[in-house]
Amino acid sequence: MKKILSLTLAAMLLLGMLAGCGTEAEEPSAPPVESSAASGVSQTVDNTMSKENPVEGGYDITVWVGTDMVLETQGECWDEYMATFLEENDKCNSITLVPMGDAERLTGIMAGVGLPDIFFGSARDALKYYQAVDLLDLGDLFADTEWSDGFYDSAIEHVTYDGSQYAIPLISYVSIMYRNREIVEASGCELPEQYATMDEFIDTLKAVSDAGYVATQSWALGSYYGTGTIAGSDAANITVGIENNKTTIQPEQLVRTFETLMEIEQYANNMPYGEDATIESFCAGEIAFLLDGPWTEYTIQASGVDYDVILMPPYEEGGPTGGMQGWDYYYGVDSGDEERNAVIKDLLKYLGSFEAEKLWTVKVGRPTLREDVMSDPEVLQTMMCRVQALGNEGGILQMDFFHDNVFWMSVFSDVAPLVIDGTYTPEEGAQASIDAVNALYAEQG
Amino acid sequence: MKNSTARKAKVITRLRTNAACYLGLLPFFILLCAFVFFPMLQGMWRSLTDWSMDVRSGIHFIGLQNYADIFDGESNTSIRYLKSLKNLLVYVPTTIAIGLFISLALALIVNQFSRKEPRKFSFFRGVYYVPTVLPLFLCTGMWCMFMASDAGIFSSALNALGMFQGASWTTDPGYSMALVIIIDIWNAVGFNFLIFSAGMQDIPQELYEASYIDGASVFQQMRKITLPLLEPILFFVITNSFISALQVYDIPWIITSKSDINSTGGPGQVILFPVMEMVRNIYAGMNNGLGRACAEGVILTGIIIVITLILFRIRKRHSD
Repeated sequence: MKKILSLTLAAMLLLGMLAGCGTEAEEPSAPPVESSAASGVSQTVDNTMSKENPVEGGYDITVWVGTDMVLETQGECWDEYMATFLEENDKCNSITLVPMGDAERLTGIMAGVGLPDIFFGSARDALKYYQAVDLLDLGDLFADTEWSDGFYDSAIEHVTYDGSQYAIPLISYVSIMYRNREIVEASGCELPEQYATMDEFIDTLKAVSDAGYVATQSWALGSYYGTGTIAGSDAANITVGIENNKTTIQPEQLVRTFETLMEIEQYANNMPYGEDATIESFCAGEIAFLLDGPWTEYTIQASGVDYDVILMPPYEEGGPTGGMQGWDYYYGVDSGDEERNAVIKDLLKYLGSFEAEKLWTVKVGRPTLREDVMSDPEVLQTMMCRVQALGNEGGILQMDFFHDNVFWMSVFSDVAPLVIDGTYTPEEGAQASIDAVNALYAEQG
Repeated sequence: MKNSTARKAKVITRLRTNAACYLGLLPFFILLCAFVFFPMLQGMWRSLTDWSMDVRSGIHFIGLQNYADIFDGESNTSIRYLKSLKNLLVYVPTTIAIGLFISLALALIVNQFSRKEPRKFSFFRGVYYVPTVLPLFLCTGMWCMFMASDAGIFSSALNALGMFQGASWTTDPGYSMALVIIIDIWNAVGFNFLIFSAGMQDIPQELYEASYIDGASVFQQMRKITLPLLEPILFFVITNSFISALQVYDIPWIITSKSDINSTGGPGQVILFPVMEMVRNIYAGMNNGLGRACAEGVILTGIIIVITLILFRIRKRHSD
C-alpha cells in the first residue's frame, strides 16, 4: 500500500513538473471589458488596450513602464496614448503595459528572455541596455527633422551611439529646491522668483538661520545629490569627458563646488537628502529650503505648505543656473521581424511626438526633453514646468548618457562628508573626487 | 566472482526495496539540481571567465584573473570588497553575540510562565515574534524614521538625554553600523527566542525539582541543566545565525542605495557587505562585472563553508 501511494505521489509530482515546463502559457480568460464604441478600442483591467475588431496579421505590443505609469494622471496619459495609437495604426491590435521598477526592468532586460517591444528606462542605464540587448536602431526616425528638430540638441546627442540613435528622449528633471515662503518671509527676506546669484542665496540661508529657523537639510550627507546640484552652477567650467580611460575633469574645476558646499552646510541640519523624515520635516514647516526633485511636489502640495520652487542660482548674475539633469528614455527592442519593428517604431515616434510629450507635461506636470514642448505657453503656465524649462537651459548632466557607464557624480557621496568634517580641504576633496572617478573608469575598462 | 555477484544482488535488492522512496525523492532532487547545484556550478565556472553585461563581447576563460582583481588591494573593486569583508568582521560577531544573549535571556525569563501562567507565556511568545514576521524593508523603513536626525522619536529622546547628539544614524560611520545591527537583532530575536523556548519546554521538569531540593540557585540550574541540555539547539541557532549574518544584504541596502548603485554601502562604504558588492558588480555595467560577481560569491561561499566546518569541529570536540 505504501509503495503504491508513494509511486502515485512521485508520478503526480513528475507529471506536474513536466506539464508546467512543457506547455506554452495560455492567455488568461479576459475579464469583463469596457468598450469605447466611438474609438473602436476596448480596455481590460490588466493594463491592456485592444482593438475591438483585431486586424489579421496585426501585432500585440508589450511595453514595460515605470510602476507609477499605470496609476492616476500617468495612467490616464497612457490610456490616451494607447487609444489614439490603436485608432490610427492599422497594424497594431493591442498594447499591454507591464509596470515594473528600475532594478526589475534592468534584470529583465539582462535576462534576455520574454523581452518587451518597448520599455521605459533611465538614461543612466542607456549603455547597459545597449550592451544587454539588441536595441532598435531609430536613426530613420531622427532623420525626419520635422519630428526630431523639436528635441533639445543635447538630448539627440545623448541618444546617439555608434553613429545612430537608439532611444526616444522623454522625461527630464533638474534638481530643485522647494522654498517655504512663510519661513523665508518671517526671516525678513525677500522672495525673488529665482535668486540672481549664489551669494544672494547663501545670504538668505544665513538670515533664515539667524532668525532661529532651520535653513536647509544637509547637502553633503547621504548622497551625491547636493554636491552635484552645486556643481551644476559651474557646469560651464567643468570639462566632462573621457580621454585615455581617465576623466577630463580637472581637480581645480571642482574646488569652488566644495567651497560652496561648505558655506551651505554651515546652515544645514543633520538630515540627509532623500530620506522620508527630511521630506516630512519640510512638509511640517520645519525647514526653509528642501533640496529635492519634481517627483516630491505631489507630497508637498498635499501637506499644505506655502511653497514655491527655485533653481540652484548661478555664481554670476545672468549666468546659467545650476542643478543636475536626469533623463528618462523610451527604448525599442529589435524583434527580428521587420513588420513588427515598423509598428514599434511607429509607436515610439508617436510617444516622442510634440502632441504626446505635451500631453505628458501638461497632465503629469513632469518636464520633457522636447524644446518645443518646454517653450509652449500652455506648458509654461505650471510653476514646476516653468522652473524646469529654465533649468533645462543650464545645469549639468548626471553623467555622459549613452556614452559610458560611469556615473561620475556618485563619488561625491563619499567625498563630500569628508570635506564637511574637515578631513579634506576643498582642494583635497576635488583631487579625491578625480581619483575616485578615474578608479571607476579603470573598473569599467 | 562470487563476491561481486553477491554484492550486485545486494545492491539490486536494496534498490528494489527502496525504489518507491527514491522515486518520491526524484522530483525534489531534479529541482534541487536545476535551481541549486547547476547554478552553483555554473557560477563557479563563470567566475573564471570575463562574463559581462555586454552580450556582444562574448564569454572567455580568463582563469583566476577575477580573483586576482578582487585581492589586488588597489582597484576600486578590490578596495570595496575587502572593506566589505572588514565590515563583516565587526557585524557578524556583534550581531550574533548580542542577538543570542537577548533571545536566550528572553526565553529563560518567559519560560518561567510556561507552566504556571500559560496565557502570559503565549502572549509574550506572540509579542516577541511580531518583529520577525514583519518584512525587512518595513523594519528598516520604520527604524530609519525612528532614528532620523533631529526628527526621529528615538533619536530625539536620546538627544534629550544628552546622548548621540548630532549623530546621523544612516550615514555616520559607527552609527550606521550600529543601526544595521539594531534592526537585524530586533528582527531576528523573536525567531531564536521561539526556538530556545521550544527547546526549554523539552527539558524534564524533574531535573529542576531535584536540583531545587539539592539547594541549587536559579543561576546554577541555568548553568548546569538548561544550557547543557539546550546545546543541540544552541548549536543550530549559532550556525544558522552565522550563515544568515554573513549574507546580510537587505537592511544596509535599503538604508544606503539611493538610485545609484555605486553609493551602496554609504559614504566610505561604512555598511557595505559582500552580497551588496556582488549586486553592484552585476548591475554597474563594468568589464568582467558578472564574472567578478560570481568570484565574490564563490569567496563568500568558501568563507561560510569554512566557518560552518569550524563550528561542527568545535561541537564534535566539545561533545567528545
